[in-house]
Amino acid sequence: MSNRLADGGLIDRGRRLRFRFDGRGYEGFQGDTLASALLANGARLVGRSFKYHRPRGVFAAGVEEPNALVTLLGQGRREPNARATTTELYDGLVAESQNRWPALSVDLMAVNGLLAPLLPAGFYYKTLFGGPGWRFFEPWVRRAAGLGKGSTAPDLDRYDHKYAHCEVLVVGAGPAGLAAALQAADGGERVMLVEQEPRVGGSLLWDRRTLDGRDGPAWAEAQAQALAAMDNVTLLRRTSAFGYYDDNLVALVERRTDHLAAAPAFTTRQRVWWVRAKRVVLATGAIEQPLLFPDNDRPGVMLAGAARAYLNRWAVKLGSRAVVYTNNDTAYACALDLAAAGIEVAALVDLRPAPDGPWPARLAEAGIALLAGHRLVGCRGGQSVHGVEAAPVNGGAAKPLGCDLVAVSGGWAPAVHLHAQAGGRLGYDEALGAYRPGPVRQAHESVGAATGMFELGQITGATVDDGDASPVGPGVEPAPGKVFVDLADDVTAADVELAQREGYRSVEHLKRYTTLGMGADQGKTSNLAGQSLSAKARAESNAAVGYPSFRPPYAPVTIGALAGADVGLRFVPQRRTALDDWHRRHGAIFVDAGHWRRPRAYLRNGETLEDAYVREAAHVRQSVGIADISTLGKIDIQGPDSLELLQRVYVNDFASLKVGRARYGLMLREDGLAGDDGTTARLGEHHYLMTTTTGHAEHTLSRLEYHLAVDWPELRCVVTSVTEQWAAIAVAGPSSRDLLREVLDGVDLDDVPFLAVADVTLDGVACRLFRISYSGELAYELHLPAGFAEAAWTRLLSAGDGLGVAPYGMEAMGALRIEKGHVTHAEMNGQTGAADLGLGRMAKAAKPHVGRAMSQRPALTDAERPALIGLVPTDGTTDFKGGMHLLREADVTPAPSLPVDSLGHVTSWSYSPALGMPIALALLNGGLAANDGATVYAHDPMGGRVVRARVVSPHFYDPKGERQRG
Amino acid sequence: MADATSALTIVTFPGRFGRLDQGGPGLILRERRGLRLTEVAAWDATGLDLPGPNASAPLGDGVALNIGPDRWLLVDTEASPDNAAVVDQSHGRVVLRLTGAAVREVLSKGCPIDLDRFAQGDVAATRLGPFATLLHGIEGGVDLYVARGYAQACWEWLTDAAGEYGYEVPIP
Repeated sequence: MSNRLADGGLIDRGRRLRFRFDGRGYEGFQGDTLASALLANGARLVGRSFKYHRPRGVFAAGVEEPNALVTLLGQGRREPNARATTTELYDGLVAESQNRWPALSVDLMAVNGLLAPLLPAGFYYKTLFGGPGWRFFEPWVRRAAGLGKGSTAPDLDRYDHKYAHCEVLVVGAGPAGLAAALQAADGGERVMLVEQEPRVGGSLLWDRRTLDGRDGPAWAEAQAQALAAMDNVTLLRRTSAFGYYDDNLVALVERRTDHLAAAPAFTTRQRVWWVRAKRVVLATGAIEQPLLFPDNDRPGVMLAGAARAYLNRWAVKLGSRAVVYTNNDTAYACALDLAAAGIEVAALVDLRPAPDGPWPARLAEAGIALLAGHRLVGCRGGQSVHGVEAAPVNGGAAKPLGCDLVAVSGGWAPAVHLHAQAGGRLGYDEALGAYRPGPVRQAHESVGAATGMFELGQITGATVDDGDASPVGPGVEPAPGKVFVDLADDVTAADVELAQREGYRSVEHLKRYTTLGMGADQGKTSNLAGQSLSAKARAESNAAVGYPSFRPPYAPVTIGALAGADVGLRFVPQRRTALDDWHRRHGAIFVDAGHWRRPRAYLRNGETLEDAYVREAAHVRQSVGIADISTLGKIDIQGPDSLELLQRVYVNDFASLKVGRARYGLMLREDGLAGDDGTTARLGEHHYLMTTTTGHAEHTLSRLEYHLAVDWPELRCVVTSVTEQWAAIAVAGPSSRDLLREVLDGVDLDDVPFLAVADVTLDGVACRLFRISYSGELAYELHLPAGFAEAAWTRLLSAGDGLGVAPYGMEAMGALRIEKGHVTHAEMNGQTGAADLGLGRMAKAAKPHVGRAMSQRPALTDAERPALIGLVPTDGTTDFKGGMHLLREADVTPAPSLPVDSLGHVTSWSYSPALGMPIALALLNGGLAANDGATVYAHDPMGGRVVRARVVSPHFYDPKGERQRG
Repeated sequence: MADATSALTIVTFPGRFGRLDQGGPGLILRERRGLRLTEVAAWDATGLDLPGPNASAPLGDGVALNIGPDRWLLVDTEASPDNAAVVDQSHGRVVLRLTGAAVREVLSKGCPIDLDRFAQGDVAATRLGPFATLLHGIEGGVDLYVARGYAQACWEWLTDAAGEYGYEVPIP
């Protein structure tokens, strides 16, 4: 730590921390940031610039840092673009520099710097787009320009979210935030105070002020202790407010373990807080702005406030000879601090011709030369600054000043980001050269430096020393040269002028054309300067130029933190049937159906999925199978007007449905297309049970609720989801009646005809039995309270042992329904009406219902519309694929030549055990009426396959339905 | 038939888990088994004195929770309301009892309501992470109702969230 001052600083010299940067070992102290530790080791070059690969050093001391972006490694992580200035040092930290090849000190990509005149703003747009250019150049451009490389490995860290409510949220624990929090907390209200740094105090941590006779950091910590002792106060350190949304919702990110060498168990790395506050106090402080001059990006040029922070907070000896360049009073204290730390100050260069007030005298007292009315016109150096040239603002000879540190202050801009995100207006203050918060739209106020007010005594109410300094100062016309406006994105003054010349006048266009303010720092030290240059080029005021929208996040937030804990298996919650564990234990492979997971097939030894489902489906046709159909939506409908509700939502008639019977029903959407289908049973005079498809259960319920609440509030009728209460087991196959006879009591199954409902008991448990067939076989659905499902399921399996009962899964169910030509949401796809699905006859009932008027539009009654058909391969063996397009012979001979007109597409396909060949359902223009027996060609353009197929009825198996009625 | 099977059979193991060196366990988590749950949905006046929005009230031997407009959940009690559907949900909901010092800390990881202001007897139909849940404030904690199909995932969510405070699953 060659550049560490002998004493001072808010660091713990008793705790040495080892770290590595670009493979080299260094040491720092507890309390250092990576940036302060590197500077203390004399490591001045920390990165290469975005576009020109120019050497860059630490420029700031906080979240506004544009240059010192590094990739953090170690602990299984690779986090690119971390700011070294906000990365707390811990023992064992490993980091590397970015955007250089092969090494930071020898970066061959710096050739871009020589090409700089050829790489102005918009270069890529102008040169590389159109024709083959971009495709050819993109990999080169991406490699040459850019930031750190992310990782494709899984994120080993864990994150979570937390909601909080409070009466007052104070953002920022500098002097103004501490004062505001204490004042609010005295009233007993719930107060949250959040501070992005590990320590409270803000500017007090480095600007050597005394308050009530104590030094700044001690005063701040005492305030924090007082707050922490109050029950109604939550103080979060290392926590940034990054987003301000409507209804006073503020998003915070808390870095819980990033500063630790080893995180405690069960503790997430970062936490996003969603805070709903009655009132928000923005004590976000101000961000120092630079002054522009040629080659102002050399390592060793930094903000004056940052220089003070490295000196005073981290005891870093930044150089041996410094030049301070300013347009305002605040940098005078920097010159004094540098001198006090034993760094020679070659001169303080002040733009103002005659600076007044107490500061020039203090400078003279310290023996520091003042060059008033001067500006910097040059900056020499390579991987470090060697010197600058100062010249009178009004013209005159330039004077060289040798130095290895340039501390710059262009004034201080209030951090108005959250205020603006919240919808607050901003007003440009010409004297300050920055925006101040204006009228608000939500319940928040700004305090302290965030308002452009810098009097410490007034802000804190404490008795303070006479160290106040005004940040007010004039702007500067930069001397000609390579003047960097935005260090993060390598945007120069010339780029801003070019944008203006080429017509990108709007500040939003300026931003996008030049990338001004689009870096990881979001232009915190460059937007204002860029806008000022644009204003000069437009010969208008800054207020007229305006500012681009302020958007979250205020500072970068890890994607992992935004995702929180809902990753991996928790990305979507798993919804399990009451039989889920049985399926798992018996070889089921699962398939997702919305949140549900359903057994796809039960694989026996060595079986493939196809082996298993063909076996299971054939088994149902031959003897009896049972399937878990608990996921079907089940809606209990009761009340005197229940029938009226059904009549209004179903296309077919339910008035004739008797108690104890069930009927298949089809619902249309308001636009006349098919919505959902299912059977509805009449359980009592005014009591129905509607079933829906698995996928549309919630949608159908909310639709019914909406109709009852909004459209037809006069109906005396209520709907209640009972999906979770009732497990459901399909018992299907020629032996299903025999199987149920073994286990059910309270019913004579010969008295339960097709589409009848019966109350039954199974081992004393009351169940409902529905004689409904999806498979086309003699079949039943047994509904029973979910907690008894597994007992009933195993009872069915053991009772049916002699009958050869076996479970079947979703794939077999699909094969059976395709054989029967039953539609599901593959066919009911939001583009098909009742007639298209072969259900036109159901819609003949002369009653009004939802979707009726729209279903009679000419477009929906056109005979040429795609309608449901069946397909079989003419060779009897080639299988289909979902989504295959149906083409004419002429369009596939000798080979498909795209594009061609598609006649329709395959919606579902399966191998049919009953037919012994692949079969498919498809939607084909004109449907069966126009195509029965015709030959079409099913084409998979991705796989390149063509299947010659014959159009047949979609009812492949038992078209008269004799088996299900048997 | 024997007793109903719990939806949580494969995830509930008695014991203490998570971080226990901070004075924990902060959460005591258990399933309330065998409750009789009845959903009452009315299309007109019920003729009963049932609690208003976001509230609960004793009813018979049990309690009635207001779970929505003209909708109540009766817990371990029965009633014969006029003009209402009475639907058994005993198997459709899983009820978890959460007690301990960290109940609010755990719930606030996924529940957006102001839990500081959620008092004993209060009812909230809200969410916990991705789960639609019903919260009922009880002495020293909360009863949480969740649909049976999501119960296992919800349990896993809660135990994951409770890890940093430590949690205990008592012997039933």
